[in-house]
Amino acid sequence: MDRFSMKMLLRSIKSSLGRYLAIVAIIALGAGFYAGLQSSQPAMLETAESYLHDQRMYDFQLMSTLGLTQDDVNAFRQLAGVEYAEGAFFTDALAVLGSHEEPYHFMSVTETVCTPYLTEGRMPERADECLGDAGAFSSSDIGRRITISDTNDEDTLAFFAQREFTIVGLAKSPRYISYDRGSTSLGSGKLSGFVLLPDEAFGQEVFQEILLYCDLPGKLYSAEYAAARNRLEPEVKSLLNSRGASRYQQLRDEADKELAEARAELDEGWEEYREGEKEAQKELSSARAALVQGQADIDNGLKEIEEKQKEIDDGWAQIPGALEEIEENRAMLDEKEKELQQGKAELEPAIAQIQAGEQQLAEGKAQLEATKQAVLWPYEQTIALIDQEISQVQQDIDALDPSDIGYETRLALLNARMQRLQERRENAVSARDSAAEKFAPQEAEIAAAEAELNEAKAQVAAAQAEIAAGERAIAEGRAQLDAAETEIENSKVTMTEGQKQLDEGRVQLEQAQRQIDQGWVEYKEGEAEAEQKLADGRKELEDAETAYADAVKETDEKLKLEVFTLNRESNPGCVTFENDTSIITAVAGAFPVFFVLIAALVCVTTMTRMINDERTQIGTLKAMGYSGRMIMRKYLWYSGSAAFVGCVLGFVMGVTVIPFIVWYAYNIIYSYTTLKLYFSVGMCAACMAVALLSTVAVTVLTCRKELSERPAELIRPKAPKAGKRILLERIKPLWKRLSFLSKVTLRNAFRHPARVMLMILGVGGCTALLVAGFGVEDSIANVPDYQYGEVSHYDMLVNYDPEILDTDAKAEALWKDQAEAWALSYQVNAELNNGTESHSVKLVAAEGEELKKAIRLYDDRGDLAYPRKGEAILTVHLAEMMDISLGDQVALETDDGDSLSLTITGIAKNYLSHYIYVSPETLNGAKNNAAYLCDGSEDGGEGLAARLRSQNGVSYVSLTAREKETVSNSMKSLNMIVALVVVCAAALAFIVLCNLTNINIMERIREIATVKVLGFYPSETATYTLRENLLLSVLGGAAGLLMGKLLHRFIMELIQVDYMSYDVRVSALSYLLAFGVTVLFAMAANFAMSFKLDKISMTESLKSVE
Amino acid sequence: MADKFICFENVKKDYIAGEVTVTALHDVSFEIEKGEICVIVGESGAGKTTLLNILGGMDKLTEGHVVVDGAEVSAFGKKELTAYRRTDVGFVFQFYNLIPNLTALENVEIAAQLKKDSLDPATVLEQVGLKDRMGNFPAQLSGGEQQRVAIARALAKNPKLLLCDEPTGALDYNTGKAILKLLQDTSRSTGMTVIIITHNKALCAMADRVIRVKSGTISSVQKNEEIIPVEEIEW
Repeated sequence: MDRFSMKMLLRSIKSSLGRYLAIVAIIALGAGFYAGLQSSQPAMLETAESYLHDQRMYDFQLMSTLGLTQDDVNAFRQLAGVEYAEGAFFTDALAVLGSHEEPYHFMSVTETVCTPYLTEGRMPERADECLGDAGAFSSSDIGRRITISDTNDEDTLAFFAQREFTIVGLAKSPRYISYDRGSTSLGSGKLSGFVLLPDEAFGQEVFQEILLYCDLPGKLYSAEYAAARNRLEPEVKSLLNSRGASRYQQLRDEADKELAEARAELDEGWEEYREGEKEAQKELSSARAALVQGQADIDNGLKEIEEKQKEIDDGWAQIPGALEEIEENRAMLDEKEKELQQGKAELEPAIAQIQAGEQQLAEGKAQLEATKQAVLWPYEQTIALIDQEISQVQQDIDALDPSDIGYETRLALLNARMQRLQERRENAVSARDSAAEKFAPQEAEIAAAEAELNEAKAQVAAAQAEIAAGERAIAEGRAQLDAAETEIENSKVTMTEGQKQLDEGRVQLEQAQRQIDQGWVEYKEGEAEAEQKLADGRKELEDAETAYADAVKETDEKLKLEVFTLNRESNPGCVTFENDTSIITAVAGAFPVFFVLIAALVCVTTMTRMINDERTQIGTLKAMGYSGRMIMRKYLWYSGSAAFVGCVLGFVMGVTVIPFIVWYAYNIIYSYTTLKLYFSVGMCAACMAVALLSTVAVTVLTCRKELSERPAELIRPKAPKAGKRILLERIKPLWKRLSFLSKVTLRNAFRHPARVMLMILGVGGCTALLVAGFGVEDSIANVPDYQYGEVSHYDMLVNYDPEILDTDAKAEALWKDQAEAWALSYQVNAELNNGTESHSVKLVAAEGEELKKAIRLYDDRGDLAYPRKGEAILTVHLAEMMDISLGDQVALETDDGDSLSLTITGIAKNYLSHYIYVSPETLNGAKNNAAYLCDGSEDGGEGLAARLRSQNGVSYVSLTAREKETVSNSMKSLNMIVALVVVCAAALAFIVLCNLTNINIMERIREIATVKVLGFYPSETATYTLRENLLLSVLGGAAGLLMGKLLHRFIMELIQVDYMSYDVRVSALSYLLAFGVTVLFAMAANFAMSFKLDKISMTESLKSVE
Repeated sequence: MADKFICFENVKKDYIAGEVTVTALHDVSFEIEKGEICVIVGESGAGKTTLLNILGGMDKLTEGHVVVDGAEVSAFGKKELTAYRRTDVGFVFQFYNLIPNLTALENVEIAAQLKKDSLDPATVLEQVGLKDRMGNFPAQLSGGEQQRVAIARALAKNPKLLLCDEPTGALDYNTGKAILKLLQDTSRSTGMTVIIITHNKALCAMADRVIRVKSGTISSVQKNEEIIPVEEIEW
């Protein structure tokens, strides 16, 4: 650039310094904002990186459900790539410092990994010394004693070898780079801080964790670091697995041995039981058999008795008939006897006759016999002699021996003799018989007489016999009857006796029955007793069995080996830090676009104006033979130099100031050393490139049009831009009503669309920034107001031990006198699962009506209906984070071991923490353990809280006022950000307004001079010229309100913190304020410009048109 | 006082630019009567415009007195000067100085609304012969028409004094004459004092009074005895 051009350039700059500075400023603002925000993240990361490196933040955090031993630590030390490995202890416990009991995280003072950063005091040297969390304790706490409170459970108490510690120093821990100390199941559920103890203070043998520091290459969160870590991770994991497995085996073996013993003992018990059972059953069954037999006997006896009884009864029934028959028979016999006596009398004569006949016959006979004897005797004698000889011969025959010689002859002789004898004998007999036959007629006579007699005799005898038989029969009948009578008598006696016996038998049987009955009762008793005894025995055994099963299960559970290889990505601080810092980058990305746009528009208007101003000059130069390029160079230098200066200025300011503001804001949350600044040549170059490109490109585009005109045209004044009717004029009724000046203002305002755009964008941008800024404050800074003003109405939350205060009444008695209202609830930390991910949440179970007194559950449409059984109301932030909407089904796992499946029926507004509300029926009989109290006293509940804290069973009292204060304090950092935004907005509005007004005035200088000549007062002139600024500012402001709402939403979406929910809201006041401030800025700019108006000489009106 | 409507007495005007003091006017004294058409004529740089500035209340003088209709304008403060311009003076510029963004009627209205006893803008425009062009923007009007609008604007305020700075300077011959005629007619019909500042000596013929300016001072003040109608003036 030659001297002349340089001179011209400098002169142009001088003459239009305002416009030049506008470009510088807008570029500076854009570049500064961009560079500042862009470098904030690297700066913060750098700072974090160096802090974490210095304190050797662990690269891996190893944990095992079975604990880790010193051998494990040594094994990891041997692992290639591991720089340091150290075992550490940790546990959460309630501790008392002064009079406050709060939950703290106790952990080892590690020496090689995650070393504490001592901020004050000294390192602990003895087991009873500790370091306090620099974020939770203050310098004045050094030297005080912190005591593990007795209210901790036994396991926790047993964890410590020491119960009291002297705080000898304060430290930060690289594990907690964020403000959040995490949650716990103790006390309020939120850890108040950490306490670092020497290892000796923990009475433990196995470490909870091993921390590895590997000095991996690459920066924090960088891909290089992640790659290096991922390379090392498999080895670390496999070593951890194998160490874990061997520890598991060892513990398993021990446990198995113990379990086996228990099993054997148990089996023995069962054996005994079964024997006992068998015996008892045997005894019982024999007893039952005896009883059954007895019963059968009795039954038989009874049956027999019944039979006999029947017999007797029959007998008795027969007796009268029998007696009657006997009497009848007797009468019949008497009759027969009489008949017989008569027959006997009739027989007497016949008998006498017979006796006479017999005598005669006997005499006749005797005579005949004697005669005959005498005649026959000789015959008889002869026969007898022959018989004698026959028997002699027979004897001889019999004496013969067949073997003797001559046997045959002799025998024949004898037989012949015998025959002769026989013949003789027959002759003798026949002789006798012929002799005897001579007596036959006599004998026949006698025989006939005798036969006659015998016949008579027989007749008499038969009659006699008949009579005798009749008599005998009668006698016999009588005898029989008598016998029957006797028999009846006898049977009567017998029956009577039998009856007696029967009765006796009955009595005996009844007695026996009673005995049997008694026996059954006894049997039942015995049986019951035996059963009871057996049942007891069994129950005992079953209990033992359950205990055993539990032991097995417990052992299995306890011995479940699960190893965890965590890295920095599991450290909440590291993760949120990365997220939070990337928010800034995201925000930083959004603004520059806006600023580049504004800068370009500023550049467009400025350059257009400038070229119009210098139109004749350009024409002259062109006419003199300067090339278009040479002429353009000046304007390029003009805008380029402005861009350059602005960029450098903005960059330097931005990079140094903004990160500090951001750091200051975040430092409340992230606690470590001072910020390291971050400069990046690349970023600077990018800023420069964008700034130069946008301005230069705009300049080229603007100039090209003018430069393409012929010099002759250029020398002539440019025809003034024709007046134009604006759209509004078409609406005649409205237009007519407008005041004259309004019309002018309106027409002027819309004369240059580019400027209107710029104005609306610039001013709108300003408003938008303000809305967003105030809105961020509304949304975030007022969170405590919303939370403690709109959502919760209680003054304090009292957590108590439901085992000590085991009835609601007992608990209520503690505050009944002082509290105005209260709501009891059961609260427990829980894990909420939507099927894909889970998140911790606080479960509150309370009666809807009760809870209403303490907490308002509502959404945009109003109060929510309290959930019924199986339903739940979830707070909005968690619902959004987990993408849970109305009607969804979620699973909940509480720390008390309940598993619930709930339907979400409401999504309630809430700003701090996450809650899920259910009705008590959903949880089966969980005892209330917390109460919301509304105190109503002047001191905000301090007095009541202090009193409650000293009560047995009250574990924690958190005062709303205190909570609010704590949260509010952490919000104050936001004010810086908001201030930054407001300053930027003001700068933006000023630059745009001043630049535009300036251009406007320059352009209309003649018109302004004319109206002045016409007699406008300065105020009227100002109104006349500047009112359009106001109008456009108002329009821009209105547009800005809308843009601001969007911008605010955008920013709020970027700023997401887990435990805190912002209501994305901008209060009416903020809108009003943003709008008001914008208008104020516009008026201020106008005010500044009105001086410029005053300076315009009226003689300008007389000048010829250039 | 009726005859001494405007009175300049030893008026001096210095412009101070750094260390250099330039005297634009000195020893300027003249009088103009009410209802007169006065032409102030002189070469470029003679001090006409300074005179106009002072007369129009746009600039203050260094020494001397200026009295207009009995009021000492030279003693006015800034505010009074504005009021003076507002109520008493009507300006007609060489380049019309119409506000491009306003229609003819509106350009008149902008002046009319400044004063209570102003004339109806439409009527005035009708009087200057622009009844049909009222709704047009300046860019849609010819130079003569624009100047008519400018005159209408000046007249609408019903001023005591009409100040015209080279009213024909940017116009062609015929149009210029028509404008001068309009000024003359207006003065005659309403009795308004009209002061025309020009370098064109030909215009002297139509004036009641001619004031010649030369090198920052008045060279002559002359009453024109034989006024020639504008139509007959030639240049």
